[in-house]
Amino acid sequence: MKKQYALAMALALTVSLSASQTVMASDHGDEGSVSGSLSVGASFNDDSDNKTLASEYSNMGDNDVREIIGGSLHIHSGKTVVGVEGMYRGPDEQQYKGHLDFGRILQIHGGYQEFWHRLGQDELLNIEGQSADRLQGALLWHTYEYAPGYGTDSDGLTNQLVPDHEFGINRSEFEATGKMKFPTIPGLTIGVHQRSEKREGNQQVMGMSKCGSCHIVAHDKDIDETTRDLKPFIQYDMGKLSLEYSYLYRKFINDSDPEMQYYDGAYNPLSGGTGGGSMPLRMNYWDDTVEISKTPETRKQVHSVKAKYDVSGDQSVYAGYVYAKMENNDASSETTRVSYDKTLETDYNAGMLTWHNRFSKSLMMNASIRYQTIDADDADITLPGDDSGMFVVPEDEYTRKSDENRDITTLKADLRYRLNKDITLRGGVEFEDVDREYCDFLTESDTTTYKGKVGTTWRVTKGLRFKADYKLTYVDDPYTFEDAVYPNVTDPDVIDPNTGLSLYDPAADGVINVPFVPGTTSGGIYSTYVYGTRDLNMSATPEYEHDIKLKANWNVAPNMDLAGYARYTYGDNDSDISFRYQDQVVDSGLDFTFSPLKNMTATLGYNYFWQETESAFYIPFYHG
Amino acid sequence: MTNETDVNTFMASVNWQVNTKFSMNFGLAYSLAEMEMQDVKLGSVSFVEGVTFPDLGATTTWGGEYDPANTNDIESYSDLEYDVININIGATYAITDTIGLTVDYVYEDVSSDEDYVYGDEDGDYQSLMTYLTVRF
Repeated sequence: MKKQYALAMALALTVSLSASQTVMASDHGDEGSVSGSLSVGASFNDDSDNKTLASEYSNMGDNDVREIIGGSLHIHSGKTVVGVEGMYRGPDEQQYKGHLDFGRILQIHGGYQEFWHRLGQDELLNIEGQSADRLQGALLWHTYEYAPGYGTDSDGLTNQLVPDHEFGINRSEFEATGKMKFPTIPGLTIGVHQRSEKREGNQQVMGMSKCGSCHIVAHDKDIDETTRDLKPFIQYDMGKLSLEYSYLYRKFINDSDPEMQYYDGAYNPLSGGTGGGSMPLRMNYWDDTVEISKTPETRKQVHSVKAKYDVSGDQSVYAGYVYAKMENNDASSETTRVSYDKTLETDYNAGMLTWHNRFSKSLMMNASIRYQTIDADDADITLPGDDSGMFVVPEDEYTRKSDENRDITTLKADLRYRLNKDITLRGGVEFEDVDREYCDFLTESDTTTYKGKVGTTWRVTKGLRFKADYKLTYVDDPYTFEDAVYPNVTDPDVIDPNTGLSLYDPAADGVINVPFVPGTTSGGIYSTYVYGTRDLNMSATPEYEHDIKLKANWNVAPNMDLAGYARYTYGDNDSDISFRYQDQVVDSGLDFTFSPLKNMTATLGYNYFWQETESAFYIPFYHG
Repeated sequence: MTNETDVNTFMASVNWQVNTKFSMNFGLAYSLAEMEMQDVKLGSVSFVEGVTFPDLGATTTWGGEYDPANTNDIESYSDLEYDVININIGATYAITDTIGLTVDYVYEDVSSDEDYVYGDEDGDYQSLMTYLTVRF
């Protein structure tokens, strides 16, 4: 269907080209002009082995030969300018754009593009488990291609019976903006921006069939998602004072087929003899499927007001206010078995004020303040009970406070001073306070960040220039999970209260030295030896961060330029956590540009990126 | 746990307007990307065959079947290594003042030496695109 649509577009373009010749003839002698082009050709394509990365954003290689049709048309007649251009390289690879200008009173521009994004398949080989159909206690299985022999052979070697399944998404986007000005009201502009984005295809999603980490089910999920934006706006420029208001209405529509998953017995007490007390999870007290990987349909509205006032040629003030409201329209769903009596809403308010002043030819300053609040509904969740099976399970209700709720205050000031014609100095400070309302799992819910930066630009000679910047960031109470880790990772001296022996087993490389007994009433083992000893804090964000940037540009010769750059970032956190977090990044490179011949430009470039993160890694494993 | 990433990228390009009728361009990019995870400590209750559990007095029977050391090879699971070559060659020739011929060639080759997560990702793609353009 899309192919026919695109070919029809190309045909229309060709017809318009023919027609335009007539226009051109009639317009000769006037101020008008017509120009354009028509391109016709083909592509010859080939690919081999795995295409997921080799042609990640194209599926042209799926066909040996594909048509290429393109063209452009530009008409200038009096006060009217019209232009369209486009290229069709296949049903999943096409782009078009166009513009219309009528006497600078009415301006419209927009475009359409479409491409294919290949998605990979996680083969789940890391599970190193045997595949089996559902309800067999399978360690893993792919519902789209059941491979009974998939997994690990009896000799312990991994076999190659991996499902060979391709996933991908066709992404298309149409966007257009129209503006109208009024000659009788100078400075007034009204307009509207419209955008429609569509994602269609299939992607791999995963769920747990029973106990997490080991028992994994992979599905082929249908994707059919549309995002529609409509944004009318009005701008009024009155000279020193300019105002702008816009309203965004965004709707996310999900027409994807639901992906339903059946959980095995251990997660589904009512289906078998394990019920009730063994694993009484709240989500699944019925013998039926549950929808997973569901992206809820949402609606978003944003009101934005901006004002700028030029106090003088050197001084201006900018003020802005944003109110946004997001609604989750799928908070209640039969397929996810969660009932909710209202739409889940999140409100966002932000006010900001910026002052810019040029004190002199050499000294310039920017200062700003911004205050943001996020206020989300409490989710009063009702999980339906069930009395139809082996056990009578009552309805369950609980309230989940939103972690999004917070107030954020930001203060910034930047200064630039031109010392002389060759040297410029820069400096700045920033303060940000994030006050979270409901985050009981953190050691501190309030995070304060201080930043200071200095920098300079030095023109050594006419052809040589250096630039250097340094920024220090200090975070008071970085984002830190409380009681996130139990001590075997870091503390071999923790003693088992029951035995008086160390919990740390050096021979097992840090594994707690307590055996586990399958088939016993083992609920106390995790509470005693895993959660019971979990009293250490954990963070993966820095408390201090140093950021150094260096850059040099050298005009070696009239036809030769050399540029070098380097950036080093070091972050560290050993405050209020039980082990150290450290992060280092190096990003550096050289660019060499020269023109060995007239009308020839050549570039050579090299980039080196290195990152090292040291942190604890905590995964509590469950067994059977 | 230490996670280390190394990426080396080389780029070269040439744009040449040979004469009023003929222009050409060439681009080459090669990148070698590696990532590895080391010293992963997994918190877990271990399984040791035949050991008596202190509180319950029972004896293990599964002999390490579910020990993370046996069910997960997580350090190599997260290792990645890619060699990626991308070549672009293009040329435009003006046959007349209004008719031009364009030829573009693109070649991409990916070589993956760590196929634990997404399998063998080795692959290549090439496309020769040619089209005639009539201007007016």
